[in-house]
Parts: sequence; C-alpha cells; structure tokens
Amino acid sequence: MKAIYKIDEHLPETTQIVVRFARLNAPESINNYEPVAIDYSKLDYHDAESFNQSLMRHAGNSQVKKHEQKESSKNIAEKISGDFDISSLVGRVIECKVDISRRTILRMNRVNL
Amino acid sequence: MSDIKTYVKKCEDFYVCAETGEKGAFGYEFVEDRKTMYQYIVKGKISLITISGDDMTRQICSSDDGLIDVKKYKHRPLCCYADDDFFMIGFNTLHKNIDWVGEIKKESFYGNDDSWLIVFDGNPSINGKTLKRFDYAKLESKKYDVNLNNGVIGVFTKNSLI
Repeated sequence: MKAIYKIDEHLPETTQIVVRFARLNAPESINNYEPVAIDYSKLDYHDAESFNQSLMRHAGNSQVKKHEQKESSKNIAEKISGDFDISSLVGRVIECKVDISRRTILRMNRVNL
Repeated sequence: MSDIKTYVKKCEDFYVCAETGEKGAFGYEFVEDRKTMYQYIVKGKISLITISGDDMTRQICSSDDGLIDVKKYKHRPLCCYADDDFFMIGFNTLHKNIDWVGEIKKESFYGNDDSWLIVFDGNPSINGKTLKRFDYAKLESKKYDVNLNNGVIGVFTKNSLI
C-alpha cells in the first residue's frame, strides 16, 4: 500500500508541521482528510527517504490506518485460520493483512574523491 | 528466536544492504529480493542456507572470509541463520541482468568510470580525504591513494550484461 502526505503549514517557532495523510488510492482528495500537528524535532532529517519513513512511522501509518477503518467497504470478507483446503476457498472473499516490509533505510553518504 | 534486522539503501547504480542480528536470529529472502552479489561480514558468523527439493546446502560465512562472492544464491530463496551475533554488509545489483566484479582494496589503485567505492569499516583515507563506514563514491579514470588506517574498502565494477 502506498501513502501520501501534504504539509499545509510549517511553524518553525514551535518546530511543528501541520500535515495531512492519505492512501495514494484513497477514495477522496487528500485535502478532505483532517490535518494533524506534528513536532518535527523528533523526526529523522538524514535525507528525504529517512524523513519520509520517520514521518510515516511517527504519525502517518496510524492516520492512514484510522482513515481506512472509517471508510465503508463494498466488500464483506471472512477470516480463515487453521487447516487449509484450497478448493474450499474458491468463490469466498478472505480477509488478510498486507505484508509490511521490515526493512529500514541504510544511511549511506555519497562523497567525491 | 529473534529476527534479522535489515537496512537497505538504493544508490545510483546498485543498492547496499546491511543485516544485523543476535546469535540464533533467523531471516529469509524471497527469490525476487535476492540480488546480492557480494557480502562482507564485519562481525560474527552467519549461515546461508538454501533448500532445493530434498537437498539442503549450508555455507558458513565469517568475518575472516573477506569479501564473499554470493552470486550463486542470486534469485534463489535463501535462509540466513546467525551462528553468532553478527553484522553483515551486502552489495546488490539493481538489475538482475547486470553483473558486477567486487574486490577489497588494500593499496593505492587506478579507478575507472564503471566503478564505485564503498567503505565497509574503519576510517580509511583516500586521496587525503578521511572516510567513514557507508561513505561511497563514484570512481573516475585516475589514481586513488589509499591509506587504510585499519579500514576496509570495497570497489565494485560494472562488468557486463549477463
């Protein structure tokens, strides 16, 4: 799943940013999702990738999850567990988790020699 | 049993991964993720395990092995088991059909336009510039004066299309 964010305001005196989060394929424009204020002094500024990851881990992931839970779905799914029989799954809608990569960004520094 | 922690950075022509874990940690890589061509074990010992049908192979790699060519595991599912607390760095091709040749440099050398340098350990000095672990540079066709200072540097050259 891909997410997006949009910084509405930067408040340097309080080291805060006001940010909206959404899923890339959200049913509404990101402007329709509630903004949240975040103290960015705790985020990782090493590079853009690190900032994105720390912003999402700090606030974005939970915001996106919250939006998703509020949205109504046209799909009604069931959970399965235990013994597995593939033929019994045909035609059924099964709920499962999207696998989130546990990989973290490695801090590399390009230098000129 | 704990998990192996993985760090990844896509650089311009390649990507670098680093993995760390405690003794007994276990990890796996799927076929599509396995693009590692060389590994350097900074600390400890790790087993690379492949299973194919009824056959299982296990290669134990340690910090004494220098730069390890692991191209034979490319695009194969691989399990990693930490025989000891470990820290390992991997050099990976970006595209499965591009081959690289890697070597550890211990002395001054001439570079070329298809090569990149990566610092694996310590604070080596190159052309008078002191570097640190995970610094990397694109090389040119010129001489590079190396003072290792007990550091470890790898140079990787794009070889050819496979």
